[in-house]
Amino acid sequence: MSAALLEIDDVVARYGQIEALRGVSLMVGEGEAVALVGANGAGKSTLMKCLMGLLAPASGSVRFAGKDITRKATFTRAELGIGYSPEGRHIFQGLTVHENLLVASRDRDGGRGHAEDIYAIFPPLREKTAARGWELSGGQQQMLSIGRALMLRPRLLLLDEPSLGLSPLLMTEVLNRVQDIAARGTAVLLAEQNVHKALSVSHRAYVIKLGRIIKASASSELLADADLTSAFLGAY
Amino acid sequence: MLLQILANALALGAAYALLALGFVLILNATGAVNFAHGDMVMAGGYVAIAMGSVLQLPGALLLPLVVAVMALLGFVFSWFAYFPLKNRPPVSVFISTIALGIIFQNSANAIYGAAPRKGPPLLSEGNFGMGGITIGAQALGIVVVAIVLIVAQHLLLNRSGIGRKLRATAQDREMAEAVGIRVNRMIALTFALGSALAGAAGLMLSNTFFITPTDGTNYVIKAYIAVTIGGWGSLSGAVCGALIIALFEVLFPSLPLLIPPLKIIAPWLFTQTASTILLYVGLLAIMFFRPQGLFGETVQRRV
Repeated sequence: MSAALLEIDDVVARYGQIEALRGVSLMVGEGEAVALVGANGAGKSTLMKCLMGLLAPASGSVRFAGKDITRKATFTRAELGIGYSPEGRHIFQGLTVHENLLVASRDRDGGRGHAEDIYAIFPPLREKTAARGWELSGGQQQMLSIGRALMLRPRLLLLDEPSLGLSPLLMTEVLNRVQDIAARGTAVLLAEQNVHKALSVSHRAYVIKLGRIIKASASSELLADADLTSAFLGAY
Repeated sequence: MLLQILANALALGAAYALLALGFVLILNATGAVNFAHGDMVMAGGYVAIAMGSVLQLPGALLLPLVVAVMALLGFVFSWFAYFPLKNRPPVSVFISTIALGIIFQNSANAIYGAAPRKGPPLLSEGNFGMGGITIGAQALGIVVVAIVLIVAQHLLLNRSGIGRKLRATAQDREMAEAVGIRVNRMIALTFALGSALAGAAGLMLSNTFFITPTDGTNYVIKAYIAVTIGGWGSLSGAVCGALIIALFEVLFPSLPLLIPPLKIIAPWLFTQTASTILLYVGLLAIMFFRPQGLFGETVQRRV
């Protein structure tokens, strides 16, 4: 296991009275692809929001690259190198594809050079550079959402449900790209309901249920135990 | 005659357009209605009068200074009217802007008194003649200045990195922050930009129509209506809405001057009063039958 890039320690998060995370601890190593699998409502998106500073945890701590970022502003986390592709993609609808990429760049050239790399990863976007966000299909929006997160040159990429609403073929395409991204050295934390695919593109996995991590192991191990996996993810 | 009337209508519409544009920019960035936006026009007028009396310069040269002072005022304004309340429902900001607007009005009253004051002309009083046609120099100047500012605003928003960040912030604040944009800075900048545009309108309107401390209320209603006609949230719609209001206010009552028989057929129709009624009937009709406004975007946007 490589050096820890992201360390989450005993994070508790609440929406009013409802406890969505009940003491979650996990870690992602430098350059590692980690899957966070669990049923709808298990707390995956909540954890992602806590990591991005969009939701303040009630207790616990989040460390990134050795720094405590538990109380840091969202934009500071982005600056430190956390890229975020949220559930629902959240493309800037009125901006073009190209503008959606450039707006996230911190490069000196405004991101023009780096945008070319993103188009190389997601060729369908290249044909749509001048299209507005709302003109894109679901798959294109997903690619753009991931591409935009990559424009920050993140050390860690948070992907929340990238396969949601995509056809099986597109889903495979997108998740294969995620695997490529991880292979190039960007750590990935991938929250997915689609367990099998998520496990097949990740090194390690955590299973989350009702706001608790109930299992952590190598993805291949979990994948081999498919029945066990579905038991974890099945009825509460 | 026709050209002079058209120029006057266009000039008023252009000044309203600056006002409405600033209003929409702030609306889009914050999701809140800035009810003090009209008072920014008033403040711009008084800043122009104050600077004009000290510097003895024409309005065109005062303009950059007034714009800068008003941008600063807009920036400060956001720290009192918006940021302390930004996590409350939009109605809180609505009320805080009303409160600050009233403070502005009474400050202006304390300094300048309630009597109308006249702002400096852009270049000079009088007319601009070419080939027997005369057009008011001020009207022409307003149109030119407004076009320059509107184009500059358009380029800033659509062709610059900061413009992209401003638009991203207006469209999805959380996501903007998640890609590393300092959202509060962008919102403060939007207040500065919107107030600067309103201040420019104030400088120009204060010469033609004079200015009193309570004029802001009338102006913010114009902005509100322009935006409703044009489409809530749409920048080009706001400009078109502003022009339509000016056509009703200036062109419509003047029609009998251009077409004399109208005076005989329906003298009661072509008055300032009747055209105001018509404008608001039109506004209601738009709200009933085309709630997204004439140029409203069909896409549901997050405001």
